[in-house]
Amino acid sequence: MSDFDTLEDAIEDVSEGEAVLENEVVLEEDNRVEPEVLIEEPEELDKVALIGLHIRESSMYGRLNNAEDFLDEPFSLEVEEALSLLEELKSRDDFSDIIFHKGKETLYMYSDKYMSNNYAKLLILVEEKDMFRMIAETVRDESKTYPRPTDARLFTKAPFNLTRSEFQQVYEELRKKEEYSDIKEVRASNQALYLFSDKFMKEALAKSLAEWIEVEAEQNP
Amino acid sequence: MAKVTGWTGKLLRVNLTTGKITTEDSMKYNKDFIGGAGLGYKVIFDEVPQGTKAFDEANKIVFAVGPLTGTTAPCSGRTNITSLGPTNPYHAVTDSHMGGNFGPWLKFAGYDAIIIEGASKSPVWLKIEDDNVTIEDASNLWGKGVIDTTHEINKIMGKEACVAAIGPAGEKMKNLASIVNTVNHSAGGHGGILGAKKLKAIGIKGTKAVHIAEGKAKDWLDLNKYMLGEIIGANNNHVVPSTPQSWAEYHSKGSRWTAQTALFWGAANPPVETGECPPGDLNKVGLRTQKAVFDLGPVAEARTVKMGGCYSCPIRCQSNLYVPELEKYGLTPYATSTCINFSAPGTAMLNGYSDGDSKGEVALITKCLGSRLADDYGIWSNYGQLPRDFKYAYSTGKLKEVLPEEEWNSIDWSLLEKGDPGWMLEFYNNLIGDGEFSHLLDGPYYLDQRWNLGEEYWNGAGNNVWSKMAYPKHHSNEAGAQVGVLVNIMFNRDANSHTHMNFIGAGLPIELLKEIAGEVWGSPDALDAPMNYTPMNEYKAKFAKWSIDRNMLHDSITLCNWVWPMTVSPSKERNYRGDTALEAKFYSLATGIEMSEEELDLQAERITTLHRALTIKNMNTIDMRNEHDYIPEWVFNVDPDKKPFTEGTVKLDREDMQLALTMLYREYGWDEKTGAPTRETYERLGLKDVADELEKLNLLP
Ligand code: SF4
Repeated sequence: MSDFDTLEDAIEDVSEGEAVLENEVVLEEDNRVEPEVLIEEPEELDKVALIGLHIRESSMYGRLNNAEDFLDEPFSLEVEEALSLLEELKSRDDFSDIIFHKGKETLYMYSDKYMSNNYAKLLILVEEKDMFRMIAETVRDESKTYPRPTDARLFTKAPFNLTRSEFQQVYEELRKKEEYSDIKEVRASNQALYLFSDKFMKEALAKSLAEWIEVEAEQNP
Repeated sequence: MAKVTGWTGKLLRVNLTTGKITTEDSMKYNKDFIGGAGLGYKVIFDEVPQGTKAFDEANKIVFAVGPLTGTTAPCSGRTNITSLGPTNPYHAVTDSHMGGNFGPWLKFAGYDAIIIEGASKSPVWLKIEDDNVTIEDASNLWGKGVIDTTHEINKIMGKEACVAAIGPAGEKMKNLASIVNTVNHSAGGHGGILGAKKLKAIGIKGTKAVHIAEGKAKDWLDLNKYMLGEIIGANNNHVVPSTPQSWAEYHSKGSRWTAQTALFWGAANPPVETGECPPGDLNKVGLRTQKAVFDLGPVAEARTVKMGGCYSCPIRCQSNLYVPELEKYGLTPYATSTCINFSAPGTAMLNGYSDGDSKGEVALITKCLGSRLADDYGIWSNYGQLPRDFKYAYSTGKLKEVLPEEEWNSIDWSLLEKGDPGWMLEFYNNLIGDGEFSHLLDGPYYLDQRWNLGEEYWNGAGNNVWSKMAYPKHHSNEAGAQVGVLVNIMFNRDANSHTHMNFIGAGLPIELLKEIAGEVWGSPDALDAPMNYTPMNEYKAKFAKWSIDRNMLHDSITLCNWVWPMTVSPSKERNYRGDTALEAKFYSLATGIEMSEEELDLQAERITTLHRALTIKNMNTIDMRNEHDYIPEWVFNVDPDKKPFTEGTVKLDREDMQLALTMLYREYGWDEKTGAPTRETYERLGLKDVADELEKLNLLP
């Protein structure tokens, strides 16, 4: 991590001409961790670079950025300027880790150096506030990728953070929608609810995997 | 002669019949058998006569470690104990394993191994202070629990001494007895052998260094840093976190990488947040495994003082808990344990818990109380089979039938019915008592002989007994289909082999795991998706062989097989590839003997084959396929309405499993009909003397 707690600290430091963004803490030789350098050439710091740094820092703390973020402080940009700076950021080689994703109503950004693509995908689903899609896409992904049925309690935890009753409500609605008819449920013997997509997984497999995850794994530590 | 590094080059031999204590050159074993289990098998093969039973005076017990024990190689603090196994129907050779500090302390005192032979007439304990080794009177310790025994010896030797002791279960020569060091690091199955030899404890204090090869200190540090920074995951080498986290591509609810934002060691002062612990941050490796919450549920968070563990282990899988409710039962308010030691007492709560919550406060108190009693009494749960045997006997009415009425009436069954933690005192006190109930500690084979448990006991799915060898399954058909079964048939106790399970359970998507399987074992077909199995193929046989051999390597070198090998890593930059050559790299730097991964694997194969030879000698038959490698019925009968190789079942096929045995034998160069190694194979592995001995006994195929 950088010595700087916030982007503001970094900006301040750069403005005072101390441009080396490196970890100066002297660690025991054995424990020395490679210092992370947020940018290679501090003298190139301009508004585009500052935006890039800001996105990296957000990603480091598990947050997505969207285009509107730069209309507020500390950047306080006009819409046009923000768009053109972001456009320029896209073409900067030293910020090739910044990923742009066009959402329904805004442009999302994150650094894939600090945030995984899969996690960003989850955050975008959360940000878009389409709860049906959020649940269905997550379940489909898990059924296809791992493969495993999804513990319904996942949606009550970060980054989804639904309350149990919110989840229940959304899930009841989702079950009625044709476009999500592939989302099915199974219960483990302790009644825990697991969801799966029958596009990617058969019910028999979902059921036995749910039983394994929920009950049997604990009996076979 | 070049200076010996890694090893100490010396072993201790203690004859309790004669009182004679000698030292010997240990390199005669280490060169070919690495140490630990390898050394133990060789000693037992050479020195314990065929037909000897576990508790006979002629049996020997070997505490042995390897060239990495006592170094700073990650997870290298474990000790291997080898002797005849009292739970085994043939008393064939078994290992038991303990973490903690004993092994490193043994090295610091200057020894790679202790061979205990003969038997004392009266209780004794062994005091080791560097070169000063004495047999001490233990009459005042006999009858005490592990905790009091340890305290008494620490009073004599100083608190820096490491003490391994047996409790009442060992003294009474129970088959399910453990040897416990530092009051809570237990090794299961050999406690009764120390009891038979009247050896109550071993205390060790040493002042010597464990050297690595000359001029290799910098390379050693670099290797350690590389492993901790890029390769190692959490306990079981799970390489993804249990919750979605911003740095992680993948997550898995079953992962032991439980660290996350706002999850604490809540009873630490001040509380310590585990937080996110992404790869690359060396100082956070030790926070990744919040095992108390994993084992006991969210209620354990507030009671976690810290995560502890074995010497030189950055993973720290042992939960250190503050549980003041234990004082009500006459104990101190602390509990330290992990894994099966917590879950086994819970299995003995047949009616659940008084608050109806299997992850609630009552469950936590019960499991902590049970694990403390088991460690103090030196009782081995037999990987959870002990409480399953109790459950079977109780629920079928067998227990009521076999217990004398007076004994049955003396037990406060209401505690069990109410789900009261006090049932733990009742359960464990009766196990170490002198009544019929205590025969639950005989283990499955001998218990069945005494109580006649019936076909269902052996063949019913869910009871998990691995017949005919009478040990519980341990990551078998549910863990990689045929691979898990092949790993389970190879030992004479439950397979303490986690190599295959660590890989399967790492938390990564199946396609990635299959790719890695392809690189390590020759084809992605070595691995099936969970519960979606395919018929046997040669790559599964290679995977099984590798799993067994690496387990043998870890028990010999010594490294913790609950973390090693490093088949995968949490590093996205490495595309989750691990480094399977790390054992060889550490071995080379420690010993100064350049050893490639392949060469070290060949040494491990030699140890596996020696184990096989010893089993053949113990059982006095070469027909391993039918007499030893027998696969229990439930593997083929589970899920009656499903066919093998269909989605959603772990059911396997009889013929396919016979083919699997053949393919495994072929991989090892063993006779395909009997499963016994051929002379040619023994000689290829430098085991001509073993072949000669077996030929004399008419035990070559
Ligand atoms: S992972 Fe656990 S058992 Fe293994 S060495 Fe570390 S603390 Fe010991």
